[in-house]
Amino acid sequence: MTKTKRFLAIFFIVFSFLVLARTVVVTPPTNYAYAVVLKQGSKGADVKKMQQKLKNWGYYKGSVDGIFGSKTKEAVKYFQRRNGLVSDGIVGKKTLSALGMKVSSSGGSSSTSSLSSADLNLLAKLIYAEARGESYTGQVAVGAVVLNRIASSSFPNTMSGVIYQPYAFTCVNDGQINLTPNETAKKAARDALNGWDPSYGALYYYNPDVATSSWIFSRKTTVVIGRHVFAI
Amino acid sequence: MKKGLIAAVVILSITTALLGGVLIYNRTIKQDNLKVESSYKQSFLDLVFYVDQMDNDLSKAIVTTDKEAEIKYFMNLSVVSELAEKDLQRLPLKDEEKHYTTKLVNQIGDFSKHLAHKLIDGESLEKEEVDSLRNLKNANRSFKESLKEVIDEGDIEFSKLNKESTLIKNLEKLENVSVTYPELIYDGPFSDGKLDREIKGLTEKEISLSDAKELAKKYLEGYGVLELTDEGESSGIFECYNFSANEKGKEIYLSLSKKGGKLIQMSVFDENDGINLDKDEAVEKGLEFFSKLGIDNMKEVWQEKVGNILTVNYATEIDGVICYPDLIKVKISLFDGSILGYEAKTYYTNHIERDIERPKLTKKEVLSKINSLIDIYTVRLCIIPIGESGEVLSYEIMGTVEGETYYYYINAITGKQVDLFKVVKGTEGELLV
Repeated sequence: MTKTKRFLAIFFIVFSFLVLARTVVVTPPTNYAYAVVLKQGSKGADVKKMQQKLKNWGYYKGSVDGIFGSKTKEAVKYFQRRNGLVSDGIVGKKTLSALGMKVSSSGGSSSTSSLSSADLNLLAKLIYAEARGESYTGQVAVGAVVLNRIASSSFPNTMSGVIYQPYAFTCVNDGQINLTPNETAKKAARDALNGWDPSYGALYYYNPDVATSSWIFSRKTTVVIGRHVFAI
Repeated sequence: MKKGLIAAVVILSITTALLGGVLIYNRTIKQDNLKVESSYKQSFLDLVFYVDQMDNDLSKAIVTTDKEAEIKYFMNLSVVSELAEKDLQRLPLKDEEKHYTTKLVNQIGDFSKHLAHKLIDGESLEKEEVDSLRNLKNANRSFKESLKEVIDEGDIEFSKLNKESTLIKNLEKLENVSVTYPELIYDGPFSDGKLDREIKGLTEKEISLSDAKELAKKYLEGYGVLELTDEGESSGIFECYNFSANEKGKEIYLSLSKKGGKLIQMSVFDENDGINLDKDEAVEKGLEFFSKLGIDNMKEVWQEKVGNILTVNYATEIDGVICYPDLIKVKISLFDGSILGYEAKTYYTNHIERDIERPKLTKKEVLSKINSLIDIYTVRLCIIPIGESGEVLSYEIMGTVEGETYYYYINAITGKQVDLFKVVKGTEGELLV
């Protein structure tokens, strides 16, 4: 009797360890899909944008400072009441869309995006992953390099082809491409798509302090912006 | 005694668990690697197949005397080269290992398309073009043979590719051959002539850095900029002096051409929110900026609003004719009407004093040539760019068919359709395709 119990116990322990080991070791990274929720205590550009909208429409009298305080909460509640939403002062997907604001999370939402906005998002992600520490012009220039590559015969002919080309961008290999880009990166991507090219036709860029390929140094430099050398 | 047994059992079970975990982990990794490896193999074999097909089509296109068959081979080449290019890009190769072959495959496709269009337009191929085709065929043949060598060697493992692998060695050999094929100059996007195009609109003398700085300050009047930082020079098609400034939370970067100190591009980044101007007022602000730069006759031809920024395309207008090659894009803040972006590379690449010819066809004649279903809104004369450097006088007819907006361009001399654009409403504004 006790023997079978002990056996069961051991079996259980081994089994649970196996399950644990598997989940701990081999869980693939999940997508960071989340819905944007703004509530009291939230801060940032989205809050600012929301306050501006509420203010424009006369729901909010406070200052547009990007901080979700009690005044903002009152305004949100007021807005929700007037628009037939649950008046809880928490801005979820429904309230956001009633405010006419886009949900800025990368997954989850089922918005029908056109081809162009798919390209825009991908480019913004690349810019954010590769150049978020650079000046605005430096970010546009990185985006322009992608577009110059599409136009060049020596590179793939589509946005996704250029970005996901093996070994082309380090951020694709280390997964940083999946970070959610900020508004600056999106603006920069839009400018690059619109034809702004501070890189002057460059097909490459590198940071001379960390670049390892001697081949890259042989390319002709077009311009230096921040820490990046741009080259043809 | 009993305690010892329990301890033994616990240690044993932990070891078993860890071992099991590692085994499962390794197996998963192995399976993943196999999947990746198979997809590399598929891409490689597809590439070999397509390059072979390109070899056949190039040979046949050169040999045949039948025009329709030739068009067929060229169209086929343009499709197959695209597929080959896609597969080539999927292989785990570094840029310097496939720079040449990517270009080769792309140029074969692009050049074939160009020749097909030429034949469709009723023209015939010139001797130089057939020579170029032969060169491309030979270059593609070497590519094909170096791929064949890899296959003949037996199975390759893509995860273990290195400098000693036949594939890499062969590709590098192709990269480094001095005799590849001559430069390919034709009127298409992948033409080699694109890189050393002449800049028609910059004809003045070179100015000094300090003069450029003074001019830059003048252009930036109203931004409250006192100090400009030197950002070096840019070379390439446009030789420029670059400057930057940080003022009142605005980050400014601008480039002035060495020749004549023209403003080539500028970007201003700020984080203002809110809208205080309407679109018409903003368009007016753009025109005011042009007069500060000394550019006249600009007319608004397209606009797009995203957030509180209006991007407006302006083109030169001469005697009511819109010259699309002379295009300048301006980004205008709807918050305070300031210029947030300026891009005039297209303008300076193409801008010349033009003698505009008279149209041979009248409006009425042109309208009789287009789809009768179209509801016409506007008809006007314009000059539109053709290929990489040509221009043609056309009628621009804007109208809708079944609720969708189209822009027709009809050659004002010959009456042939030059282009047809469809307006697509995207989430980011309107697009022309």
